[in-house]
Amino acid sequence: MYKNGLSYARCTAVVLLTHIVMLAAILLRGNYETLRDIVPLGVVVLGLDLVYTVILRFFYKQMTYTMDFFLLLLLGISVIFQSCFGGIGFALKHQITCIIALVMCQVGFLLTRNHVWIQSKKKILYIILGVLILSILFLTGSRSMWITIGSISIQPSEFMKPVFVLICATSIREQHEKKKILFFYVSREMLVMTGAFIIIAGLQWWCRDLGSLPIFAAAYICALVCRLCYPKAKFSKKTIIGISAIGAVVVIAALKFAPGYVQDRLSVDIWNQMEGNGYQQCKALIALAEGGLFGKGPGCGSLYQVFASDTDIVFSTICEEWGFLVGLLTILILMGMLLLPMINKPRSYFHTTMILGVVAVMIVQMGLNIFGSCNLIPFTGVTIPFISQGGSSMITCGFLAGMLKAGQSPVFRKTEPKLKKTRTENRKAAVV
Amino acid sequence: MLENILEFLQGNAIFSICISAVVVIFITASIFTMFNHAQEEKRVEQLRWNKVSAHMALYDLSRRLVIPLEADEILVGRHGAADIRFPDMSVSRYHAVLYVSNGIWSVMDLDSKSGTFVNGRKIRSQVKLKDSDEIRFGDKAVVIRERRRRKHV
Repeated sequence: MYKNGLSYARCTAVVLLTHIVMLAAILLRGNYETLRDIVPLGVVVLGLDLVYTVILRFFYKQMTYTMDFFLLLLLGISVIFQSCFGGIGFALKHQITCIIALVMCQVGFLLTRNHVWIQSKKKILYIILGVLILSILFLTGSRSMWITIGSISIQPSEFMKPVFVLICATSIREQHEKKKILFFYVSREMLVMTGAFIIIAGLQWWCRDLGSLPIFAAAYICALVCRLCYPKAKFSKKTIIGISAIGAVVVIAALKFAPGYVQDRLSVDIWNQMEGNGYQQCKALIALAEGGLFGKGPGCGSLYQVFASDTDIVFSTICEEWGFLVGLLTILILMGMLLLPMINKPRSYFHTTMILGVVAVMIVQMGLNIFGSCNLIPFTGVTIPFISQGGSSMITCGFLAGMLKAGQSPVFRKTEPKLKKTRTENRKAAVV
Repeated sequence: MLENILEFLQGNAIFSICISAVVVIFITASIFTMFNHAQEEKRVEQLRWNKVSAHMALYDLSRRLVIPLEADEILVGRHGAADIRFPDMSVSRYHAVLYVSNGIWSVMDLDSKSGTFVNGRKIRSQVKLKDSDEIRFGDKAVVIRERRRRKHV
């Protein structure tokens, strides 16, 4: 039975029906050769819906399930999208990563739902971050973020995101112990958090992966604001001016000393360089316009021929085939997932900070991808959570979704320390 | 036969638009359904929180106010960012924090100017609270008390 006693038949039916309608749209509008092309996709997507619902119904007890159904809906839609690019087929690799993401969601939930426990294990988080940093420094190729093992490529910097968000959230513990350094009241935890961010930023700079830098910066800023608003913080004008000034100096210096290719992207005129730096964005914008409101039809697009059509410019590929409205609603589903904590508010500072960090990471990542492919900001090449293809990204996003869920179904249980029995108590017990 | 029908339908632009519109309607409906369920979950979560917090609330007797305790760490102070705000000059901006663990509430003073008192005694460390204890933040006195539970018929 569900622990909260609510019935979820309506949610299950709605998720199933949405996926069935999308599969029917492929049948009626899609680009396929025989009906057999659609069968594996349909069986797997609907099968996963049913299996996951049964697992939730009978084997898993928690307080809130809406996040799970949002995730199930989104992952099913994502598999359908990815299977349609360049003709109807079945994106097996993407399906496997989606299942791993669902598992990681439960792992993230179980690890972070008890804030007292996770805060007591924060040293392990620093060790994991250290291992990830060292693996990037020594195991990846020269100035690259990827570790290649056979046919599998792993991006350790993706795994740094949940670890960094957790480090930011656990830094709440020693907030009362603040010392005045120069002009600011800071705690040791805040300094460690800042140090971790500086190291990560330096590493991103060294690896030429500046697209992810705003994501970490967003998580850090959210945590910093939470820290400053915490009890006993001096959230004064002096602090605001000081931090703003430091931020402005850092941004100006970063833009001035940015690598050549970044400065090229900042000033590129895509329509004049259609065959050069602006190739992907031009194609993405043309595809977006060609798709219109209702799209060309699943598998009927042409953007799949462009490099990174299923990752970096996936929003345009979806809009071309399914239409702008469906693309927009997919983003709304993701936004809905992120907005759930506003309905059911977290009840601890730890979970508040953690959820803010997760939301910041996902929204910035989504914004960089969508606005980048629409030429509103420089093209960065980051993925849309759960929609773009990519194992490392999918695992990370699954874990982050689990963290969001933990804020919805937290555990407020503190294990009391076992007291040693005195001799007299032992004697009394023996007599009884 | 079926393939011929499908081919005919695929060539019809209005039919394609209708199919897309149906997809849009279903996705929108699923988003609304989920949010509706989230509202119901909020109600259930509130009942669960009442259990976690042992149905306790603060009673401001001077203003005849019941202040619900809605989180496991609650900041009391005069500052706008405080969870429970007392606009009284005797209360510091960040005065004290209330904690709950295993259904037991406790209070800790944050080095406030006028101090925090439990049943008239000034507290120096984190102190556990019992039903009907009087807590005084500066000149502002409140009582922590179990809320009246609704009788289920």
